[in-house]
Amino acid sequence: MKNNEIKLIFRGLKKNKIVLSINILGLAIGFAFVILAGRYVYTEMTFDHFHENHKTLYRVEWTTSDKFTSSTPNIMHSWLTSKIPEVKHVTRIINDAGGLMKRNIMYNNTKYNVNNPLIVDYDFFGMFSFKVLLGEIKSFENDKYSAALTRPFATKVFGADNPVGKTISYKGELFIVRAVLDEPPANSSVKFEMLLPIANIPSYATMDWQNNTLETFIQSHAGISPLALQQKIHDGIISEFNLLGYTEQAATRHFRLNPLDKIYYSDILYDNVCIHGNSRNTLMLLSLAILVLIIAMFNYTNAVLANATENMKGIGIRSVVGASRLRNIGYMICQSVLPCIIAMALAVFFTLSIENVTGQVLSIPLVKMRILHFMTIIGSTLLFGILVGIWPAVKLTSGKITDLLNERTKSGENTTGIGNVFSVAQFAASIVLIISVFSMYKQIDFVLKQSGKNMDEEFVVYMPLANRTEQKGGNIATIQEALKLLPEVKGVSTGLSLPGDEFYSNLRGLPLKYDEEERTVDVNHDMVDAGYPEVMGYKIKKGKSFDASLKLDYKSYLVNEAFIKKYGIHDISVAQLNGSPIIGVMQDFHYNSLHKEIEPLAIRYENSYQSRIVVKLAPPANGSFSEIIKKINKVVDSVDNTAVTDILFLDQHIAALYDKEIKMSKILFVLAFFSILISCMGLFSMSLFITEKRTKEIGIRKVNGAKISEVLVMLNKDFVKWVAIAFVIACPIAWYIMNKWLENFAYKTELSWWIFALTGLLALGIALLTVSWQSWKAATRNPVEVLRNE
Amino acid sequence: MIQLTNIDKYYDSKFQRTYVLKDIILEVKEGEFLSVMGPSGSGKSTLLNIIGLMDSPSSGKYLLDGNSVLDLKEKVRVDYHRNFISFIFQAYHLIEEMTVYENIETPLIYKGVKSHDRESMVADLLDRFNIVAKKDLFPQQLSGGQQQLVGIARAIISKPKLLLADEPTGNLHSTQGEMIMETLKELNNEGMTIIHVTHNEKFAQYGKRIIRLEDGNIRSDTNRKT
Ligand SMILES: Nc1ncnc2c1ncn2[C@@H]1O[C@H](COP(=O)(O)OP(=O)(O)O)[C@@H](O)[C@H]1O
Ligand SMILES: [Mg+2]
Repeated sequence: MKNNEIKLIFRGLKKNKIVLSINILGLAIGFAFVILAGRYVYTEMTFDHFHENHKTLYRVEWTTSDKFTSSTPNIMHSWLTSKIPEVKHVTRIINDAGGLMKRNIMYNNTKYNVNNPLIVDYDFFGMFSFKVLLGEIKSFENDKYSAALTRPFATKVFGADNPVGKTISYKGELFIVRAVLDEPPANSSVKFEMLLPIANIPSYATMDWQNNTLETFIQSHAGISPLALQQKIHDGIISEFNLLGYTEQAATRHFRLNPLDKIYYSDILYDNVCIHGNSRNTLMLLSLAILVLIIAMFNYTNAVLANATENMKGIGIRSVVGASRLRNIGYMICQSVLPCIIAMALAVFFTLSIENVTGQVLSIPLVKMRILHFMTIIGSTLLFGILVGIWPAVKLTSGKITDLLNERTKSGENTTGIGNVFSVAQFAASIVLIISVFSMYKQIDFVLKQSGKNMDEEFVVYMPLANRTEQKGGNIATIQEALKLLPEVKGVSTGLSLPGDEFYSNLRGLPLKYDEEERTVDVNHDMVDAGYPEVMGYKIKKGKSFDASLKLDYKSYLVNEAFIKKYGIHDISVAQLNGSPIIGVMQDFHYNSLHKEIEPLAIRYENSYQSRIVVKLAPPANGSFSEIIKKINKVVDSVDNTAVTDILFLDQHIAALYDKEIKMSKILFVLAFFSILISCMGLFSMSLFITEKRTKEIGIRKVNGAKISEVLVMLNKDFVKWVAIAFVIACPIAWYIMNKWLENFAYKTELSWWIFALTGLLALGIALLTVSWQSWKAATRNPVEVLRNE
Repeated sequence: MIQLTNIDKYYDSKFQRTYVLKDIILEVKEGEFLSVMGPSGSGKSTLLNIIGLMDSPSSGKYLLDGNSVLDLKEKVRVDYHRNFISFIFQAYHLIEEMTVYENIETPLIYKGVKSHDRESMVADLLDRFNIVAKKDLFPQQLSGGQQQLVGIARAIISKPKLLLADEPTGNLHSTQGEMIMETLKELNNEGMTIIHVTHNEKFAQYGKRIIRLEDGNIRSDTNRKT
């Protein structure tokens, strides 16, 4: 394509400035979504590919018929090293802040929470490609008190200073920072802020084959068949089990090697070293983004068609003066490609500038853009423009030249016909999205209200104990006493877990004796101090709560109504759970999320396993807890500033159970907003096009006495019809999708008719507002002026 | 140069066949200046379009320069339009996004003429039609007569043998119309074959031969006495 033709295209585009900018903007939004989705999918699909050795790296896992776990015993490491020569490197990885544990480090008398401090073997560095930016990791081989920090964490602690060589305190011991590593990329399953040498392995990781407390990663020598290696490892361990007399385990366990780049999508429920993805979510986000692109594409196709019909004469003239058909097609395709390029440039700019929003607000991980990505983007833009432009180009140039010159063809009407279909499809999609968003909000609101029922979750804050296993009970008791002196504090206690902890409280096979009959039961199990039920606001329906002054109450149980019901207990005084009496029954509340029915819950008065201090606060006078939080912080730090990691709100902890849904509803909200925006843009340019074509008709009607209102009705009638059709199509689709989604919850709201009605009215209102602006202008124009111009 | 034998042109609708041209026999020699007259709807434009290879007859024979030009391949047709036939239209049909200069230059670009040669050829024509000062204006900024001059300049820049003009003066005041006809006459004097359609008796007299169409038939065919 020659320079001067591009110049011409630009001149032509300038003529339709308004419609064009609307379309470019709409297209840019669509492109932006697809770029984001593309990057997201790329991130998801390339998890852990950045490790140079990813093809020879595996995690050792094992399965039984009903269980699937990545936890392996400490002894696996030395066994693999000594018995399996095909294995080149082995590293153990323990998350030192796994489970309910929270950790912090001290530097300069300031406390910094550290996420995922991992304890690793020296081999770790040779296996994985986490980049060392500063210092060296050599000392990890033999110096227990070495630490490596990621750059963002190091910056948080040390600011601009060089961290290498500085001393930090962790769990009461002093470590020297030896290296600063790059932050693990977005597509890394293994996340950490600090690494420590394996010498720091906790004492609970014993050398027993039954003690599955850590994860084991191996790197095989090049050219080793993974299947053969897997078989060899499995056989070896099984014979080890047989030697030790673990016959049941030998018969049921199956050891396997999970390739590193498959780990992300593995179906593991609980894993505190690696994060996991959900391929259904990925697919869903991708299809939603493509939906927005399609909506934008409809607009653009409409515009290209309208533009092509407007330019029919020009194409005819070109043919007459000697342009070949191919040349005309090329010219028309360029007309559609150029705006696409502008839109794409805008889209790239958008996406780069909202990086923070996607990362932090919507928590969608995205890898950094690379040259390859830009090339893909440019390629797809060209392809998109060509695809949209090629049909009208081929079609228009296939006719006779005289038809083009006289504009006698029907293609002009065709375009608006297709336009109608597009508009209906766009509005239908937008309506589905809006109904979904409203219904999701309603359900989430219901869930959040319900989940706090029968407890005082909005007034409870909790403090995770730092370095729990090393805690010397004394400080915790002192802190509790000090807190009780604050007038705003209504109660203080400690417990092992909290409502909303989900995975950590499930206990199976607990012995229950009732009426001389003994069996085992599955329950949610918690161990707490005596004051805990009262602090949490659990309501006692039968019997009594724990009394700290009664020796007898120690190790006794409170159970919930679901427990009584499920296990058929009519008289708690003759029941014994886990060898202890049941002294009271609590009213049911949602210990876990509303995705599940309320399950049996048992809480035991035993304060030797504590992981959180819970504090009940008085309702604050000014509605804000921030003053009292500051006070609590001061009191705690004055006793022991390493004792707890944070002060957190219980209601937020519970709300986190619905993170996935809340995140999805936010994403849907954004998509719904933009899809309706783009649909309106399309409607707007459509109404511009139509009213322009009907200017003369309107003029004649007005000369013949039509009122403005009549003209308005005439012009808007069609648009109302389209929205109505779109609504009719959208309702059953939205109803089906939302019903499916609600099936995720055991407790749910009904789909409300008023949400559907409201959405319909909203769509209609927005559509009318959009087109009326144009219709009003056309209807109020002076007919004399219009007709004179003809 | 042009030999039409038994040319029919009709349109079929659901119930009937409407003839626009019926059994047209016409020969036009090189160097002729032919005026085509007739009431509106009599098929003048259709005839001109068929001659100009923009439309094809429903039946009949058409020899152009001795070659049959029915069912031409696209490539051959484009060749004729680049090198042999040019058009002038009642509505000028200039490309709105192009300046006067660019409009005139366009056929040369499609023909593949070198940019240096183009420049001098366009400059010559701008000179000849006295529109040098207007070369950077867009068509909308010109009067009708000036636009038609640009149309003629564009038509003749590729030095065609045959110039077809469909009511070139139809939208013009008579003085401007006369100027256009004078220009055509001049071109004919230089040897160009011209066929032009007009309603205007006076302008028709510029032609050396006049045919009158009525209901798709040639009613009369007269050579103007000089
Ligand atoms: N595509 C078409 N379909 C049907 N009728 C047509 C078509 N094109 C032209 N006509 C008819 O052919 C007749 C001749 O048209 P035309 O050659 O433009 O007449 P003139 O130029 O003499 O005014 C007109 O009656 C017109 O309606
Ligand atoms: Mg005509």
